[in-house]
Amino acid sequence: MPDSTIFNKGDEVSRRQFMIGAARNCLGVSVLPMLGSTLATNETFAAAPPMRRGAAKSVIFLNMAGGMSHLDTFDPKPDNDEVQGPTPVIDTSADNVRISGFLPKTASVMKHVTLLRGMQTNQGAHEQGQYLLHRSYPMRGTIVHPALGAWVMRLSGRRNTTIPGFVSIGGSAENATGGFMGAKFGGVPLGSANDGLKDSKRAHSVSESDFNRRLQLADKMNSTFHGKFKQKQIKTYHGLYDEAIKLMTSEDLKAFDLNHEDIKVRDMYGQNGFGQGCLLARRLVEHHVRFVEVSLGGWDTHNDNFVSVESRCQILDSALAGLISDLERRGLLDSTLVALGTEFGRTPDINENTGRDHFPRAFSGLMAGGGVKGGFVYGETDRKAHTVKEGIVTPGMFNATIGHALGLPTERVVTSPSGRPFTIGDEAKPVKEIFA
Amino acid sequence: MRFITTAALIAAFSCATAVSQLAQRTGAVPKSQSTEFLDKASKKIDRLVGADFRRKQIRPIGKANDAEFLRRAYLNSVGRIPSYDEAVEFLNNEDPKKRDTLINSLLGSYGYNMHMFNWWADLLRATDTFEDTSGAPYIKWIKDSIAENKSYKTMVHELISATGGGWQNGAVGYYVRDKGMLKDNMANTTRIFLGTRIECAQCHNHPFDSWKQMDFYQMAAFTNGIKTAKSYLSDYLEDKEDMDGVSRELRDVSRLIRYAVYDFSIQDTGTGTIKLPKDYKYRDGDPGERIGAKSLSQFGKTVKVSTRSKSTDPGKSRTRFADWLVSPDNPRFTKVIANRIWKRVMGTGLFEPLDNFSSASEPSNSALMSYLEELLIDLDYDLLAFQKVLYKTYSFQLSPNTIQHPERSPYHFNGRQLKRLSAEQIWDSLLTLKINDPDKRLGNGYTGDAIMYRGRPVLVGKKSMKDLYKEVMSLESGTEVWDYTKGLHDQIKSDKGIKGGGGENMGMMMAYNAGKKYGNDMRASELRSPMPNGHFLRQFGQSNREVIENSSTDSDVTQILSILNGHVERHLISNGNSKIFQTIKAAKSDEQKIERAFISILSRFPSADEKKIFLEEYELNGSAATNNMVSALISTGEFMFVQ
Repeated sequence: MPDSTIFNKGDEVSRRQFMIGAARNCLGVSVLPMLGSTLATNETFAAAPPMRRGAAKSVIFLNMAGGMSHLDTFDPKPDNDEVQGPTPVIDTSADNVRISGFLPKTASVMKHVTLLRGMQTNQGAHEQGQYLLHRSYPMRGTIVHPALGAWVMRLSGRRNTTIPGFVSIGGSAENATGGFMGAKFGGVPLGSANDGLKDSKRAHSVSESDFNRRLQLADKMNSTFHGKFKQKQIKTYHGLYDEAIKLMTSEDLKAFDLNHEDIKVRDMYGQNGFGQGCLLARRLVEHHVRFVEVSLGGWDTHNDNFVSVESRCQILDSALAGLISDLERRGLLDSTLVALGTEFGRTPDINENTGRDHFPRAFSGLMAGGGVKGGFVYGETDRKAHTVKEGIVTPGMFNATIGHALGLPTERVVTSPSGRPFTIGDEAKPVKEIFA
Repeated sequence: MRFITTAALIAAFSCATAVSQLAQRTGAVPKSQSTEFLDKASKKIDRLVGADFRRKQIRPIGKANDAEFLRRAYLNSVGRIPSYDEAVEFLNNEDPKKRDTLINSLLGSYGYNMHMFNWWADLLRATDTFEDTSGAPYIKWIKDSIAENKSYKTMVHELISATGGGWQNGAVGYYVRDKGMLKDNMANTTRIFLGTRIECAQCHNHPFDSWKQMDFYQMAAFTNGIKTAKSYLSDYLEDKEDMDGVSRELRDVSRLIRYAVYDFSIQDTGTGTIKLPKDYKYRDGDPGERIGAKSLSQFGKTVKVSTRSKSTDPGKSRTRFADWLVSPDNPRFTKVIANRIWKRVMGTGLFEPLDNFSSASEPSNSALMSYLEELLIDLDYDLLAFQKVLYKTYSFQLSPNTIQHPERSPYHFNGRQLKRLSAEQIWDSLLTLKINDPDKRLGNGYTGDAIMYRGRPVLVGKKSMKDLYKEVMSLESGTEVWDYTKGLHDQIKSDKGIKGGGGENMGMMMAYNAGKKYGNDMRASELRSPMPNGHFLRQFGQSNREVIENSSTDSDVTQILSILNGHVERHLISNGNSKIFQTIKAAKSDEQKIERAFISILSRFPSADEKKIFLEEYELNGSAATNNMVSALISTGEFMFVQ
């Protein structure tokens, strides 16, 4: 629609007046300013390319920040006391797959999981390691690479256009960056699951009618301004108010509100930040959010590794097992890929503080749902969990595999504004062997 | 079609010609101080812009009205909207020279310094911390350099050749911040100061420019081997088996010495040579071969370092590199900064992107580009004087162009392009609506060289970071440094407060106390650099300052929510004490309230129609009308964009 018709005053004003009334009556909330411009704001996300059939529709990425010990979680070496330490080892619901005894609930859902025991990275410091894990590229002083979620948004678009398509819960807000792709592909960072979406509700200091009055007044001012400056950037900016109102009035906003969950379910995931984050992730995925990251920190166990890892595992165990079984029960596991990653593993050798130090050469991750094989192990380390014998998976491969699960073109080159070429996994190939 | 002649364009410009008679007679005044010279330069620029209009058959747009000029001048030069009083003073002033007078008062003011800091901090990636090391001396060095209007050429030379302790010379922050990634640092140096991207050539010959991997390594050799001071303390503490008995306080003092003294200094300044990578695959060198530094060809007289020069004078290769970089023989150095400042004042560059000028690039107005380069050299790289010239052109005063110009296509400056405010401009403008005198609150970087221990200044007037640096660097073994650390810890513990309250100590304590008193109610430049993720400034696109000019003016829906329901509502609208409500409260009628709100927020009087809209609001909503009006005006596109 050309601008001149949008701003054909007589008609537009009366139509808007009508809609104000309609919005009030029907939604009980507020006006929709600049109705004519709604189309413009969504065009970025309108053209989602066709997906591979049977591909996953959403991703829940669990980020174990600090460097998760592989020996004490998913790659134990029960026959080697020298490196294993006091961590117990247990059987799981998958044949011949044994994991740490700190994860009994996870053991019961292992039949849905592919373990990646050949993870490897070339970064041994936290910030650099987390960067590589999220972006497939090493940190540089010359460019900001987009986070994986931004890649997913760029290559596939939003499924639900009224709420954000990429949400990152807990952890560093850097994990949600759009990098050189820009803020429009970046995620919305949530400090904690219980906060909900920041500022998405009317402030207590403003009555509903005043809120509506403000929007109407601004709308009148904006019509004049856009009348003078018939520019895309102005239209887009005004259009964002539409989007904000659409969000505030969206039925899907309740996806962000954990109060709708039964207390039993909340308990099952664990009454802690990470557990509730995983529960929120499930709610968001149910409302067609494309990419959700949930972070669990505290894995940097240089001291008292076994005590610290056990307490981390208590949190992880309820949340991970809760998430996988809940997704399965709701029929969402096939369409949702759960991926768990960390920046590096920890030394098989136990240090003098009963701790383990950073270890980039070999560690573990996992994937479940989204077409991934269940009860499967990909990759193997030697008897000390020291070297990857086969099935190496680098952060780039890990990310390419997530892209592949979603049916995205992992070889698609996206060019930065400075003209440099990038791909979702830094040219790494997806690990196709893990798909059923 | 009729075109306005250049002469008419110039005639339209009401210029102040306060001729400096003294300068004429004696010739002793530098050109940057000569009002006459600066005025002539402004007119010359207008002639060159006008000539371009004629050549391209562009019909010049009209002159911006007072309100447009006022808001643009403030936001552009001091980084915030004018306060109500400032706006009223200007709008009601009938002096025909008032635009010149305003520019003279804004440029070089505190507000100007603050806004320049944001610009420098984005360019130099100046952060409060570099991993464990405090970036404070670097921030302070930048702020001091702006305040004393150090010439750009001098600043760059000081940065590139920096050596020694950070508290003696904050410029070493330029290398300290990139510890362990000096190759990236060199790519950035080339990008910032020469407008050339060579980072691709780090791993292979450049695919679409002429740079070879050899060029990259030859440049990287200039800074290769730069190291921070050797820390006796870390070696000593690593050897020391048992730290269990050591108190937390003592550990914090030892951290101060490790990070703020040893790690913030450049001691080994490099040899000017480097080894080629092991997988080097081109014919012009062997894998692993050691090569000498050599400056990029095409940029003035080449500087070389021989692979055998190692023993002579270690710091010298970098000084020679700095000499080469800022030399008048190196035309790109001047071109890049002239264009960068032109863009900063006029909104669009003569060529864009600013930092990727290749052999194929062509400025949109070559004659103007050449003149700006000549002018900057004449002004001896005085950026303040250079900006004064630009702000006083007629070209700066043109009306906003209502048509959006496609990005990165040549622009001929026929009217200013609309632009969303930067995160800092939004923050600082909202602050102007909240408090009086936002430019007077000095924070970050003004705490001088006090020893900061556990977040507070200690031993004020007794010992400074400069003293500490000197004392520590004179020690020569781990045991000595450890004893010194324990002694310092005792001194800090028994410190009874400030000795000698005058001078720098006074200023430092004021800045420290301001930080405590005002919280975050200070201008963006006085807060942490950058603010943490999730903060309003970052949400609106403040740079993370890890990458050059990484700020963004993209808008997204979370920003709108923050305006409607979050930050703006909490800090401004529902805060009856904020400056804007005090201003409105003093009005005698609803009409006057409306006028005051418009002037405060949009720097202009309301039109008759707009008055009517808001008078209706007062009739309808009475007491709530003021809040609704203020909120609505801030929610407009007009507030968010500069015309």
